[in-house]
Amino acid sequence: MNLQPGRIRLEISLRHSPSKVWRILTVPEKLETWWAPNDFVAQVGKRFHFDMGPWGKQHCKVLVVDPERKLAYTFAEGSLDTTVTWTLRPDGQGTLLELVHEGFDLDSPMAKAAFDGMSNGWPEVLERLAKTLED
Amino acid sequence: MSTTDVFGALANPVRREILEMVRMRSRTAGEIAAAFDVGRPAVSEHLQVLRLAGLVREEAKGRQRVYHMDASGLVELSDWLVPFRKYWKQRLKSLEKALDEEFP
Repeated sequence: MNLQPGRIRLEISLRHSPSKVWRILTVPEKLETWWAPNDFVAQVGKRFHFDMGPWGKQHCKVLVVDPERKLAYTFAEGSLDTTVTWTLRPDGQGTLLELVHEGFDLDSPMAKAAFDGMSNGWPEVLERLAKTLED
Repeated sequence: MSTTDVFGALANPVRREILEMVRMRSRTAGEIAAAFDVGRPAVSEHLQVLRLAGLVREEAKGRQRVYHMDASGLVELSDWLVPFRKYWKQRLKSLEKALDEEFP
């Protein structure tokens, strides 16, 4: 089976400048206010964690640091094994912030369960899958 | 953070194994607990997390509790990603709120 990994892409228009958005994404105490406690360091190659309470610590590694433009890290190494990428674009006085969460492995046990659990409808599923990968 | 996160629910290896088990066929709470050496209360907690995330369904059969895979949670792959999208939408809303509070 040769399928692209799953991908989620969302965009939000913020009235705050890229430098402010960058702070909320990279300063650990700020990051915690909207996501989870963490020991993030904005330095490529650094390993850090999100402490997701009862869900445990998610292991991450910084991949890209391009201040006020782009930030990427691995997310949940050893379980979901995905990548999170934030892209900031100036938008008037504000920022267009894009989130891409990708690498949902279609060959993982979770995805296999999803596929095996289906008794019919391959074409429909592939169509839906294509849609999911597109948007 | 919501306790119904599919995200967190899937992040744990024991919970993924439990899902694998109930995918093959429905299982009683006792059967599931016996398959793990983490203790019954811990397994109960995992089952609760899976249930709240909409990944398993609980059914009372006499004195037993039986767990089924919840079709609504994990039938198709495209559906599988939907809860993650929801998760991120919530996070982005929180991010915007945090910005408003930080930089009014």
